[in-house]
Amino acid sequence: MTSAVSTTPAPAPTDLRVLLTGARHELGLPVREALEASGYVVSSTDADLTDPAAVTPLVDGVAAIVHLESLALVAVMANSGEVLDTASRGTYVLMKAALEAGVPYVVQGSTLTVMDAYGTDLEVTEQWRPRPRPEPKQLAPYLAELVGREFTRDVSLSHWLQIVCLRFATLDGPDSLNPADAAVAVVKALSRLLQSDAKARGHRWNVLHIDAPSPGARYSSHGAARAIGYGLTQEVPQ
Amino acid sequence: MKIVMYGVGGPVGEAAVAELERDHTLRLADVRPPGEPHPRLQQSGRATEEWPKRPHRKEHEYVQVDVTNAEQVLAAAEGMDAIVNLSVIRPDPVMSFRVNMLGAYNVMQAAITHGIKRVVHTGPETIITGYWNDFDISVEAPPRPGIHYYLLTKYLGQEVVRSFAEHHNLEVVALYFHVFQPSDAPAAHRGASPFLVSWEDTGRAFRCAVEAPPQPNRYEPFIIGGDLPHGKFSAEKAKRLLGWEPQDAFPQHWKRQHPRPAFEPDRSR
Repeated sequence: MTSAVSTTPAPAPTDLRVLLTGARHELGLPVREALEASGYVVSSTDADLTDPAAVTPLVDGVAAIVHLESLALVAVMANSGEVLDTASRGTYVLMKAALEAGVPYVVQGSTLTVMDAYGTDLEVTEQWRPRPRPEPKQLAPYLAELVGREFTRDVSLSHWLQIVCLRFATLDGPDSLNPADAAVAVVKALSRLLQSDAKARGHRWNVLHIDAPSPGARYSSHGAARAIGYGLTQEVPQ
Repeated sequence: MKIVMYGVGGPVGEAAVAELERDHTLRLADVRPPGEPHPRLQQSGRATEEWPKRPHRKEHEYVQVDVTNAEQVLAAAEGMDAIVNLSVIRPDPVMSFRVNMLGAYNVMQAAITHGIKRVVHTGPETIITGYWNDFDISVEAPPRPGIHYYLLTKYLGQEVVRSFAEHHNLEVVALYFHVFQPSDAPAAHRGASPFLVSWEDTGRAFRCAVEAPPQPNRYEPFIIGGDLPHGKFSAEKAKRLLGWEPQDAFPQHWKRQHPRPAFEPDRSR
């Protein structure tokens, strides 16, 4: 595992409340700590998101959502087809509640394993079509991505969500992604979403690949460096 | 060929059976017990008139299968050469995900477990919502289903099926539909859909899908719509690759009448 990047995101406006789903995931604690270090007030939950009655109060009054529940589910239900339902339906219920509550910003956690079918000799970026294997642990986060994307662009809606989907590399093994780096990426993505309020043009759905910020990493994080300054020692002027 | 047909109890299933039963051995599977009529037939007398006809009606093996139950799906596919999956739930906040997506997963698991390569998947044309004001729309347009439960979950199911097809070298033919009518459709209807196909042509599309040679792609989708004059949805690919030739174009719906009839609400969509 490579060392954490040295940069920290810019402080957030004080007391902005953020809902963190899937808090039990390996990234839950580092993400919570990174958000709090940046000034956010974090509400962590491991609630079953397929229950609309449970989700509605969770989104009440929050400025944004960090959605790790799909990753948390596959960590414990990786071999069950049922996780396709709980992950995608839970994401649907959450996004719908966010839309109805006027919570416009979501950082959605997903996995770079949806790109693993491509050869390791290829420089696979966000512009490549995901090729998830038909295994629940790859399919479930991918399907949850597709659900989130529609909430950013359905023509029948009068307003939309803005989502940054972060596909995280594996957290285990050599050259793997350090959870602290992943947490910094979450905070930077959230910060960028909140800054975008006055210039909400272009695509409302954006995917960024988050791997270890080292030359030996399987996937390039240059897209994330460009978009949110991930892995850079200085902020990139926008 | 021995074919198991999941979710066969709806009208599309009836149209597919009407054509396939002439030359194939069918195992019919549906969540409803045999003999229980489709809810739409119970609700409306008009539905009976619009239902597909079965001119060569034969008896078939029947198994009661809930596609969300992986064991039932697996058992029903044993000994089969091909699978046709017609199962669908329309806008239900829970069951649309379970039937349209998890059901598709269970069906594909059954296919690879039993070594069945040919799977005919079905669904709505999920590009419709995002492209309704466009023209020259081909099946290759990226899906834009929106957040409508039915379209979105069928799209998720398609992606599940595509994943299996591509990673297990299956032969999946996916047939996308929108609106159906009998070939002897009643009077002209000004609001008829520009994505319309007859039950009889629908049945013939299933024959083509089951019998067609391997396609260029492991997951090969097709628009199944009649030869309509709108220049909007094209079924050219189904003609070219499946050899499907739609017979019914419903000209009564598109001819200008003199004088023009008074406005009537659209009942076909």
